[in-house]
Amino acid sequence: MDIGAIWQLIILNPMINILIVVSKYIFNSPGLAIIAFTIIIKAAMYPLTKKQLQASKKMQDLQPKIQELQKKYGKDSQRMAKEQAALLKETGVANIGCILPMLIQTPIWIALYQSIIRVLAIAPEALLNLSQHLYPSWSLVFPMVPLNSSFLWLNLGAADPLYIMPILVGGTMWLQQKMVTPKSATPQQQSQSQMMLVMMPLLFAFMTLSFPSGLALYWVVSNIIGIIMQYFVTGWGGLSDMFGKKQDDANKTSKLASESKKLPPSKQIDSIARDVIADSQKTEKRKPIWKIWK
Amino acid sequence: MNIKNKILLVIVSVLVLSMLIVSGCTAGVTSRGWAGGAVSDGVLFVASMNGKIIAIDATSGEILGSPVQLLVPSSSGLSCLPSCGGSSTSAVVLYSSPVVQNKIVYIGGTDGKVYAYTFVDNQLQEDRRYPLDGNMGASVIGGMVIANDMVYFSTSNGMVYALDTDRLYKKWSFDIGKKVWSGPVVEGNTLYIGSFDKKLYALDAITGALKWEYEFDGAINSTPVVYDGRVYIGDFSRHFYALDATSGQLVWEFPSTDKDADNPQSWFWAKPVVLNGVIYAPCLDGNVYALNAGNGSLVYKYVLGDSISSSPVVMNDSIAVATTDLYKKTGKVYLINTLNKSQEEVESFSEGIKAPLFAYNGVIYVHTIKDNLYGLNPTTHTKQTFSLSTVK
Repeated sequence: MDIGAIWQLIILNPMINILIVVSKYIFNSPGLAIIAFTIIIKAAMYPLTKKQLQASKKMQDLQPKIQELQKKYGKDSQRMAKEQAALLKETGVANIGCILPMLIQTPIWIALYQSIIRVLAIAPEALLNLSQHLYPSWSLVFPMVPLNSSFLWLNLGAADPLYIMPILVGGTMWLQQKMVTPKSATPQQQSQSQMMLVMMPLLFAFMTLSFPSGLALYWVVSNIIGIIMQYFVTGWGGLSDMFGKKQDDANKTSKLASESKKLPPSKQIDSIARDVIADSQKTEKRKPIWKIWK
Repeated sequence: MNIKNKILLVIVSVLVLSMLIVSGCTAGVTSRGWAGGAVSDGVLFVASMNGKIIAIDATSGEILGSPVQLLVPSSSGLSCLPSCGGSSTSAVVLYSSPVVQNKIVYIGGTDGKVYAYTFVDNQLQEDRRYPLDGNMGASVIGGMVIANDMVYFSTSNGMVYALDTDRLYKKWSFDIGKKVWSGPVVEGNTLYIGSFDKKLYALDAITGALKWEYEFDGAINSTPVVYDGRVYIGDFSRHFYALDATSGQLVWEFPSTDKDADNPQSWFWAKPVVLNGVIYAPCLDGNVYALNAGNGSLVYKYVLGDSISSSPVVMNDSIAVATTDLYKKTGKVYLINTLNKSQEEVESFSEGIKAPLFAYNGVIYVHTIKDNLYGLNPTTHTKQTFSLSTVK
């Protein structure tokens, strides 16, 4: 069995059939089905997302300490990398924790894109191709197709002609990014952060200009759920300033870091790590994520 | 640049790349067309997958004159509809097969236009087009039919049109309101057409007035067939039906029960054919269901294996059927002998077959998804090959 067949068997076929069935039971509306589907996916990925959010928070908290290390070992890149790795290890921050949920979501996006263009009969080839993905024993899926592509003002199979979805995709993604973007101390880091903060939303907004609105709907709902989760795990984060709240975490950790300078280098790392772990534990205690699922 | 930014940049690159791959020209879901052909006075008129209409001498295999190239301004962005390409114009994608009458070739495209070309001195010359300016706002996907001095067709936004064959003026139009990919069929003064709204419509072919409509369980993509006062059609609910052509009343339904092992396992997509009182209904499950036209009982099930999306063609007492493995993209052509209920594989291809088959003078013409046209003679076992994409 080649990778294409495995892809169809494990990801694409279940997604197509479930999308059709969900659509049938939610007012025959594929738009609502996509929203329900997004919630299901986000719920299924919640354990991973939680780790990602916590890792992001820890990374955020670590920034002042990384800056301290940069000031100290900036000229010695090898030493800097070593110390930074040690810091991440000590604090239990794994980069993979940030990347994994995103990597897992990528095949979901692709599968959802493929599902939408098939079930909404965007092209004759796509609809014809769909026939081989339907489960013969699920008799209700056969007459359901093609699904009604109308949802609100959208044709889910086509790009939004009013350009509202690109704005929503870009806007919600920017909000989510802003929440996790750490405060930068140096102008260089500030510009890098700003670049990342703007680049991703712009990129997705641009893609939404030509992608089916159904996929854009998934992105918008996914971002909104992400923002809510982010709030309950880490608070408003980078958005605090927008709401008039002064975020003093950076100053606080910076102060702790400078205090730790008095210790030998290896102890400094331990000290920083303890602070970060303590901070993140406090945050978790203050805002239990499970509340949003009650 | 710190580690986090580097990682994010890598992620973004991966995402962009993957999304571009899937959005660009994803195999199996890109609009490429699958028009068939028509024969008139020994000349084949075929629509290629790069928007050309080509005239071929059926006897000699010679390309007659220069092909006509249909072009449309390229769509912006990443979308593959109606076509891929970076130039300012791109080829019109063609699903609807050409139809010919009085040396005039009619064809509709995904550019929302219908063209008429006169074939004079072995050369196609543009005669008329509809509409003169702009387009109809939707693609012509289903087939076209000429009757009553009118050319009938549907557009994917649910409109059914009748145009005057002489001037290509609109005689009437009927708004179904839902997507239509089915081609019409005209019998006498009645036009029959199916829709994705699960209904079969009977319209007055002269005025366009609705005579009757019948709602099924599934969407209809197939073109119906009319025989002996009845309309026969299959739908996406995996059922095949016979309706009274005058009243629109259901006469029979196959399968009548849902627990039969012989029941269809997929959609009825291609147009059925009728021969000697038997309806041959091709199904995407790889079977051709031979049904008694009178009572809908299963006469025989021809098991061909792969999906049948290409409409079959009758050749004397035989029926030529093309199958496609939708996954491997390979195709086969079979000849079903209706007298002794046997099937014979005529040819296999390393390319799928989705365009309707057509036949002339004992030769089966097969337009494949790699834009090759094959002429198969099952009697002499000879094969002609035309690479339509390279014709200039």
